[in-house]
Amino acid sequence: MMLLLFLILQLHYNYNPADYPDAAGLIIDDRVELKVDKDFKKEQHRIFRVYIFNTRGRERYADFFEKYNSKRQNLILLKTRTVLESGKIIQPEKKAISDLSTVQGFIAPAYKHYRTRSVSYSDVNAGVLLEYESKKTDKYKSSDKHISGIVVFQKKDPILHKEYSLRIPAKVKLHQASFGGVKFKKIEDGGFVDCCWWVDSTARLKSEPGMIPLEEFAPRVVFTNFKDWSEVGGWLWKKFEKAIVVSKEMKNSVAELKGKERIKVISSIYGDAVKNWRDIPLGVDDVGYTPMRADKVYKNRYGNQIDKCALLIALLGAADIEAYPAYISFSESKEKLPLPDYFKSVVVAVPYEGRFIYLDPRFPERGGVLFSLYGILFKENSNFPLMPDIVARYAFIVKPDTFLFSKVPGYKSDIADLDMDINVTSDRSITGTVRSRLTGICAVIARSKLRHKKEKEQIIAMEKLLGQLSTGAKLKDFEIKGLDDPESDVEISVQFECLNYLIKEGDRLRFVIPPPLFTFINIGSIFGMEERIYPFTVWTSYGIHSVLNINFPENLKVIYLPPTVSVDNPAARADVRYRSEPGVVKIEKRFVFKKSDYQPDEFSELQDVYNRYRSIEQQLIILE
Amino acid sequence: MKKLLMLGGLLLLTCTAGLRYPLVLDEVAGNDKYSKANALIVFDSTNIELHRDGTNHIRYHKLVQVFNSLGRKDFGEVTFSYITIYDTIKVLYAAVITPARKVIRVPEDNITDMPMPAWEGSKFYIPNLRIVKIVFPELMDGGAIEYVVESINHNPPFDSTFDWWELFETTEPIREKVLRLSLPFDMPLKYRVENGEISHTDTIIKNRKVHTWQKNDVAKVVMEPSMPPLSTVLTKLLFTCTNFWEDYSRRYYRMSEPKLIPDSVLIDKTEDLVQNARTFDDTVRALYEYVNKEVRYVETRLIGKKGGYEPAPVSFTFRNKYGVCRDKAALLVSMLRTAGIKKAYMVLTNPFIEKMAKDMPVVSQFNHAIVAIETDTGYIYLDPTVEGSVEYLMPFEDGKAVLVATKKGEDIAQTPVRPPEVNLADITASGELTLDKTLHQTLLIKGRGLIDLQLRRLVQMMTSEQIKQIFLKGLKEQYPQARIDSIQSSEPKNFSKQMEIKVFITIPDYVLKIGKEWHLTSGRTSSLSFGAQGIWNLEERKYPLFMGIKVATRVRSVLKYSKMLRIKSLPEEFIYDDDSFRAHIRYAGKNGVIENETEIVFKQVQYDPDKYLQVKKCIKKLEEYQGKEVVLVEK
Repeated sequence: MMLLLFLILQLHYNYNPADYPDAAGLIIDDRVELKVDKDFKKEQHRIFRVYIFNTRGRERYADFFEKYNSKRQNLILLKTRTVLESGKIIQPEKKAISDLSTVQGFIAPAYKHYRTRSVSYSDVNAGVLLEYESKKTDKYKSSDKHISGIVVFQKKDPILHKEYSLRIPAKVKLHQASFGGVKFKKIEDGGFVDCCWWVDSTARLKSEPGMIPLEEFAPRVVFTNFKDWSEVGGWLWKKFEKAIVVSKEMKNSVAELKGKERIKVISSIYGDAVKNWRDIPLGVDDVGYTPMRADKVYKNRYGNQIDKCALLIALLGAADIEAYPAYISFSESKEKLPLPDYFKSVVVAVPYEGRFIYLDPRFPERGGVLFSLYGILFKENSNFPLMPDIVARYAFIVKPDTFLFSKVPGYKSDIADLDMDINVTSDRSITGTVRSRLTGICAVIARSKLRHKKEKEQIIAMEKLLGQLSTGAKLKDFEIKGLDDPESDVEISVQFECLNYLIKEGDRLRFVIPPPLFTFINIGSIFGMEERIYPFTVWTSYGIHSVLNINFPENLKVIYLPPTVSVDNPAARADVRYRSEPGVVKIEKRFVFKKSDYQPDEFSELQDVYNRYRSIEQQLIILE
Repeated sequence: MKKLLMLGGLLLLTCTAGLRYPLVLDEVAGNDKYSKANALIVFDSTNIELHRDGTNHIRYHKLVQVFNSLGRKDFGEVTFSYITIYDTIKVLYAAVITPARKVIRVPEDNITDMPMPAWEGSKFYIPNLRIVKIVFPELMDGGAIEYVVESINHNPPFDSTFDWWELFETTEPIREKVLRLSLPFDMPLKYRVENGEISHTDTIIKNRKVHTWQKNDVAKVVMEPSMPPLSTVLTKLLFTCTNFWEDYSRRYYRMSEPKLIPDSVLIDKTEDLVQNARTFDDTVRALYEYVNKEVRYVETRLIGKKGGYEPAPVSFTFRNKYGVCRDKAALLVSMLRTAGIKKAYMVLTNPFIEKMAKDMPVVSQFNHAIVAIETDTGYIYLDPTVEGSVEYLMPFEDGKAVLVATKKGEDIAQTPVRPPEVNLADITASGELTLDKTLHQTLLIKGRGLIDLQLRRLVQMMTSEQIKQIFLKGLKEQYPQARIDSIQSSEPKNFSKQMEIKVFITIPDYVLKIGKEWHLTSGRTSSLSFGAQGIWNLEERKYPLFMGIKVATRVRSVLKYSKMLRIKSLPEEFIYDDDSFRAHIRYAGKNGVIENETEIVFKQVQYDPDKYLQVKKCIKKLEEYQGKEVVLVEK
């Protein structure tokens, strides 16, 4: 009997990596059980068991973390152990279990009570099982009677069983929706209701660049006891409105704008707040929906995204301009179950001429938030910049007694406009000028790389960028405008020369058509795959347009010019035109992403456009 | 009475510090000298009071004026770290000075003392490493921050001695920087300045000698791409109370030895690992591989009187199969000795520093631990921390300063320097060009040294779709229609075989056809396109260009083509060879086969500004050459 039991245990713990190709481990059991009592005090029970397949699995799972708020919660570890292949059990060393700060707590003192319990397991290698079990309880009852969440049921490794269960007082009316094969059951038990969602045998999530958020497509469940969107709006407003406090200094700061044109007032207040209040790089995901009081943000001169929204709304209000918080979701949420968990970002919506202007208060410095991006500028938003994660997304605008859904404008124009004039000299060298005008993602990245660089630093940065043309390309002169003003385009003008740029082969000279210099974007970066499984995003629809004028000495004749390209499908469009006259070749190119988000089966359409746009035939001109 | 007056004076000085400096701010306001800065470090002082037993108090006092949002970002918060076994940090004073010169004290809520954060993937989860953070409110352009922070050390890492190093340059200009050291007058002290000049004075006050180093009007450092580690090129002050490196060698030996004693379980395991070993090399290899592969890298709470310096007991590291560099090194030393290789020792090193002056034993420059085995012909060095490294010592550790910890004590030494071929990327490409202009090719990638390590780690740590994406991305930049049919790799954990990755590629759009000519763009393959990164395109450099390693790349390719074609032209041979760089590219073709051999060797770890210009010219020529084509023509 003992032998049988032992054998069963052995079988139970022996999983064959060959059955799970490319997996680092096999998640055997991943459970969260959340109990909410009648006072809305919560207790969470967590179980996680994973079988390690290889070194990658060891690196991924051998150190385990669980976050909690030390001021409001207790976290007890019930079980942490390594189970070897032999069945031997090893407990972690005492010193390997610690409470560390969270990254949020490190970034902002307001969150210094947030903690991460870390466990470093012992003797972890392929073939072991790691087990974790914890209980996290609220210290106090909660005045907030709302429950909501989105739980994703897929991870980077395959899962044998994942379960999320929720025990709530029976009087709580919970609505739920599950997607992607997640099963659901509900049981009434005395004065409580037990809801349980689970999946068995989920394949691992593969890695693809540019994937849209998992909450949009992976197996998941959404649950909420918010009755409707009105209740969500009221809840969000209640958290926000207390922060809209205007101090005397704030009133004085906007007094001088009285009488000015409305758009100028908005622009002035926005520009001041964005540039002069330091960004704390934390979003609503990190810190929740309650901003710091606006007068405190004003005084401190720093704030995270929602804090700076409160500041903007308060200052605009002081200048008699209506403004409201607008919570941003990746996809449209109007028809979905009402809950705030869709919103990962918040900006300010200002009613203006029958529509809204959206003001994104983030203007992070080099190395800051997201991709160090400083806002896409476009006329559809009255030339106020928005971060790429906001453009063409969906806003839930919350007012004191109402709410509305709105769509953030999409970007319709080119975000990089490039002009190059190149003169080929008789010794195979080139001299030239590049002029680029950047908005959108290109402006965003340009600012992140160049802003606040001083003279010598700018020269170094520009020389390095010019190296994309050729090593030895010499920077003769340059000018950059618009780096410090998020409401302007970025304009770059560069004069250069490059010796021996053309390659001589016999009587022929090969001229490699230069890449789009000083646009700061590589549209080819999403094409490093043959096919895709998951939906993906390029953040915003955009186009890149370039015109090249290449002047040759008259004794040279063009013997090879690339063919014209014109391809247009629902995913993208590309046009490349060449015009050859004696002594000059003009090239005009445009590539446009028509959408921001794509389904996997649209990738081949995109690829088709890109292949034609960047084919080998398009890469050079031959002269004789 | 005198003491009281002195204390009173000191107190007055401290209290008025916040009042004095706003005047200084007015002095610097509008000064063109600082217009190119994001901030100005107006005053930066470090005062060290050292006691005979090695304990100390260090007081930091800094005043920084900010000019723009980057200055506000860089100086709007300051952090200090300390390890509770050794130090405590106290914030004595912190304030913001507005442009109008109003002084605002930082409220207590803005000063936090917390355990280090759990950064994802950091591998350091040390709750007794704490962070003190000051967040400065109301900081505006033209304003300033000031703080006085004290670090109190109650347990020096090495008893009864002390050493220190500090940079006197940074990425913003410094108006005045002072470092003051007060120590018992009979305590020995040596100091040295590298890469520049710093003024020095000393005086005796009562029983203490006070040294002052000062530098004023320090220009900001303008960063260049691929700079060497800053501590090796910027003006640096080092000082020490230890006379000889041998002293530190003996001290570290005494600190580590008690931790190297194996228990019976470890002894059994060691004997098991070496039971089939016939030679010294077999024994070393078996034990090195075990520690390298089976013990993962992570640091948890520091324990022991000298936790963070002394290794964990080897039985602890073995039982848990984790540790950091000193723990892994200690385990390997213990296992080697158990297996009969008695002359195995702990070694202190720093993979970024080549030379440490013989007469300047500053042990705080070390940040890594490895192993040395003494043989008749010198030391063999092993680094078991670099997981996946077949080489005992990674090539980036060549020529680096090492201090072997022995009972009698050793002087500072250097690891041996190997030729560039110790890091070798060896690529063989065999392909066939079909009449539909498609290239079918097999790439076999092998390597030595760091390249071999990278190949092993690629296969171990990435999924197959990630590996495919990495290769495909590079291919598709030139050939948008390129496909990878499959990728095969050898077993990364098998150190007895060279790591290999085989990539099977199809490129339908390989050929540019112009009339009857088939143009094969020869050289602009992503692996050899140096210009793309722009690192070699600076007109001039002030600092060396730091490659980190010497590296050689060898590519041999064989391309078969149809009998319906003949070779019209091949690029001529390219040869360049000097003491810093070699490039040799050769084509040959006949009977339906084109062969190419390419060798590129970076012979130096870093290139001084003059050498950089010389190599840059060669890189330019190489790029021009790479633009040449193989041209076939239809018969």
